[in-house]
Amino acid sequence: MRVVQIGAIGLVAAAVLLACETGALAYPNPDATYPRGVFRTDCADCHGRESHDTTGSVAATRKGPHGGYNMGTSKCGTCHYFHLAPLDGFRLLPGATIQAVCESCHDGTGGVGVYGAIEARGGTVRAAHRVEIATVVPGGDEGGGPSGGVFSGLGNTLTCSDCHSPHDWQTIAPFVGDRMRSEPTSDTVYALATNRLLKQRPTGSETTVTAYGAAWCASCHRGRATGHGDGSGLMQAHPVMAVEGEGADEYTYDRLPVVVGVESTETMIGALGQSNRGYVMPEGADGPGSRTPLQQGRGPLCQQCHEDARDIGPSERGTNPMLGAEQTFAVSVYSSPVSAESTGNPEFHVFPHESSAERFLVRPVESSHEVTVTAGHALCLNCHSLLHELPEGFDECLGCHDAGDPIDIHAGTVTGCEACHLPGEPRTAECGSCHGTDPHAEVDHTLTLVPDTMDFFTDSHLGRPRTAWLVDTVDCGIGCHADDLVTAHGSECLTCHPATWDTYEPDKGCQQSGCHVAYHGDAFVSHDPYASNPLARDYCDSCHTAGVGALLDPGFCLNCHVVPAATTALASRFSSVEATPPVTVADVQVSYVGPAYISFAITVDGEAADGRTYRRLDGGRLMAGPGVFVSEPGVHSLEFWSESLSGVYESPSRTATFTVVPDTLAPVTTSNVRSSYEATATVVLGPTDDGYLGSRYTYYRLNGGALRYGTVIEVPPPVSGMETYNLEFWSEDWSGNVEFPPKTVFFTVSSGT
Amino acid sequence: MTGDTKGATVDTPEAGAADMRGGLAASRGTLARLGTVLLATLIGLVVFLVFYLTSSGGYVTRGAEVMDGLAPVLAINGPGHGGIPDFHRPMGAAFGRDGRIYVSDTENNRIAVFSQRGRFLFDFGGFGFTKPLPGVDATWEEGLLNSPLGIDVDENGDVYVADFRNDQIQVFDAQGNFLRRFPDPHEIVGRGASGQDGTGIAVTDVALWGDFVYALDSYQIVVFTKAGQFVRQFGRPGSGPGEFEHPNGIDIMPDSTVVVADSNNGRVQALTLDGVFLWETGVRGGTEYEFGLPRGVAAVDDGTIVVVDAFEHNIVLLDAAGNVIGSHGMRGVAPAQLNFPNGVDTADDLLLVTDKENDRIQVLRINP
Repeated sequence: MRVVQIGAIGLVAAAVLLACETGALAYPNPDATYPRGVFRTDCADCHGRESHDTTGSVAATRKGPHGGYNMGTSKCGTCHYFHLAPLDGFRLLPGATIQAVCESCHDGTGGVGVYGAIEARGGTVRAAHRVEIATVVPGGDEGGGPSGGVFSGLGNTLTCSDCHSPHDWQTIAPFVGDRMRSEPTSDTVYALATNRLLKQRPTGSETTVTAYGAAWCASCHRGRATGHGDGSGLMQAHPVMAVEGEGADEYTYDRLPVVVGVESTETMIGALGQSNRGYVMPEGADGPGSRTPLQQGRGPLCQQCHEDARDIGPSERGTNPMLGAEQTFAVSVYSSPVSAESTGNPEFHVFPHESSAERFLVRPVESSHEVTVTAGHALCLNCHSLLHELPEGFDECLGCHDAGDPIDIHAGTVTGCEACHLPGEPRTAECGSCHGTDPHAEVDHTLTLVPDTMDFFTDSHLGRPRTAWLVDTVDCGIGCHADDLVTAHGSECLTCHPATWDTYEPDKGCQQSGCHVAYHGDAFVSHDPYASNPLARDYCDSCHTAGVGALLDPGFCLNCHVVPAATTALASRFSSVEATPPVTVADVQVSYVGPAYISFAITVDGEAADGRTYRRLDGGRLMAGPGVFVSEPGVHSLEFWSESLSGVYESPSRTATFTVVPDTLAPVTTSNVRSSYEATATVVLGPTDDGYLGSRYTYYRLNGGALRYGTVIEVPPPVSGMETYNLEFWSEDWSGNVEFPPKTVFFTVSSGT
Repeated sequence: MTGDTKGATVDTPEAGAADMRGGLAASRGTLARLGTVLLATLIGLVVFLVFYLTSSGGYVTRGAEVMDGLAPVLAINGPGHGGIPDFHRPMGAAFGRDGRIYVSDTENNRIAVFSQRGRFLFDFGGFGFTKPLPGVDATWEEGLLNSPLGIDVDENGDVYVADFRNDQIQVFDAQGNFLRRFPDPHEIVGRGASGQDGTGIAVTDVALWGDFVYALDSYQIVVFTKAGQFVRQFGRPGSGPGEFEHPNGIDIMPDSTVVVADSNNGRVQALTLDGVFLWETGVRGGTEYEFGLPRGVAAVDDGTIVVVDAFEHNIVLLDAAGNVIGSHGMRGVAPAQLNFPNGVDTADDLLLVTDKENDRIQVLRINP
């Protein structure tokens, strides 16, 4: 018997080996330098799983712990404690701060780290969004000055969740960024579209932005939307996203003019990411200083000047007619392999977290005296040629400075565009070293730096607090009390909370004898069944199906939380005066074959609204969530009602009755396979099932290899010649009926060459 | 992590404590007979024991309360000596030949060494980088580290460290003296790897097998001799058999099966020493356990495989065929609770787990 077993194992191993040796699993070019030419589609395809997928769209739910939640999800427990959250934490998170929680996983070993990569290479962090330190937004004021912010970190500091939604809630559209260019898998065909969990409305934003671009940055840096005016930035009144006329399409990170190719003077609509082509601007057809038709009337996106430090390439635009040099244009880096051009790519892809360049600039301004214009390392010269008309009044300068060219006469002292365009205190001081007292007293060369700006963009994130208890003002301003509590109590949190680190365990005096008898009922009681409060037991079965234990199914979070709107709901409850009750509509039908999934939609005053829907199935225990999955055959009654974000309940509740009929038939799977393919073969499987939810999984094996599931199979061509494949496939429905026997088809794939 | 210390007899901290208690009782009997002189001796002994225990770096002080099947044996928060910092996100650990505990204290860029009872012995390492930004000079010198991750110890007591951000492996003797490093982080390895700029390897963990070192790169396994000579590489990016997505843990079973925590694919893969795919566990669509983020992995002599699931904050046990035979652990800060655990090693029935977000390592025993 043992011999048979060993033999069987050997056969299986041989089959696996053979499968691995087929062209289907080989690199397109096995001799290629590892591992170029590899496509990836989305981090979510690989990273994270969801075992309670009720939508049938597996790919949509595989976002790791960040989103894709369904009823019964187990993802909440990845980040949130229930009863055992540390006393110095908050939001039932395991770390002392939100940043600490994020960095628990985003530590660099799973791909790209966030903070720390620059210092790990001996670099100096010259600009950073200083999470859990900064409370000031440069350019946050409409007029261009800084503004204070009330963010989600301790002490109202900026933190990760102010820009990112860990629940993938109301996030922007995916875009193709530059992050992956630092990985060896990167090349010009590598397109990875993700939304990076960026919120449509970062904390403090008053606008909703659905696409990444200048408008997204400007949702917080409001004053930058139309310029860097009032001296708060170095670019005086430089337009950002200025568009002539109304109704013009907005350019975004994924949609803006990029140079067509090397040494081209034309632009096309493309993405800023994945190349350097969007960071340079060719001359238009009308000569120096003109724009291409796609650029007419528009300023640059924020990211065209501010992103990861990079070498744009030798644009060689820094010539001046007075110097007699020819102007050429070239981009030499964007199409080169990243690994071979260590300086020719965004260095660590940590934008906008931190940068080795000042002010997150993609390359230095001419502020460094070591940088000469002719070397091409000038940010301004990415777009502006020196082949421009001399400005009005410049002739007067020439009357004194008969050498004629400010760059030339100041060579080695003050170089580049700053000689004229960026007057500032450092420059006037240097002028004095040569010219004595300021010869241009009537000319205001003063650049006023706004002190708070430096509070945001300074050296590094070193020194950021890592422990909550270092902060006197606890985080009651987060989530629930964004507005009212701080105002009402003057941040005298210690009035109720016995210790500065005690953010989630108040002494409950405010509830038991004070003003707020019920405010914290759901939060504290539900999460603390051991409390002395006799009401606690009433809430236990919200989470615990049998008794009270230390462990519970994390999926029960959704019994109470409409993820991720819960925070918003709590925050709104305290300040809104809305009194209109919500109306709940359920897409229930009379009868279902196989399991049913009934979803709820909430409206307030006839418009779709967010909120929390409660339900009881067959008179059972109270549950909450956006839908209900019912698999038990029979007649069911469903009672449901909703609570609006303002805390107004729908009354009376609504009811529905429906029947679930057993589904006994297995799905049937067809395919569009052809007998032969040239180049890549794409086979699509089409499962059908009589059940209401249709087929759940479609499995397949290629050449007897690994079991996989999905409905689209792509088989790359062999390096040469032709390969023969057999494809075995079958499906399973939501009632567990499995199609049998599996179907098998055969096809060939040739190299096409 | 370790393939060479399996079967080693470990004088457990519990046994040590029992010995101490026995010694104390005996001393009391002697005290009755010998009077005040020996009383002074006893006091001295007690003082010594107290000092010994409190300087150990963190004996468990809350007893042996079992948490979801995990019994706490020992917890170490760091050296516990004067100005020497305690752990900051330790991510790798390994038992040495004599039961020593080697901890890869990642954010402190050092290796800390403890006795089998958890007493701090010494540390080595320090920060140095091999690949500076343009315009910056490299600071790496022999023995300096940059985000050390996985660690393994061979039969000679030599310590192999995955020097992650330096794109190299460093080898030290049992006392922490630098021996060699490989590969050259500025040279392309084989047909290429994931080190910065395409040179060296972005190594997250190492496992020793005979004269060979198996090292994890971002999408593959690279094999070297112990002397540092490149042998071969296998694996590629992807989620299919033999493909990897930022694996973080590797170990080799007594039957030579290579077990890999294929972290971002949420699974554990088993391969032959030559990279032939054998099985995988945690794949959706099957009936297996679904991993959140498997990171550390260690093989036990009896064929059991121990997997650390960082997202589930627990320890998952697999049999030699990859079937899940148990999972233990719960999130928390108490003894035997875990908070984003990362690395694991085994000796006898003891588990050595890096409890990363609790900034400690724990020695645990499965006690379901």
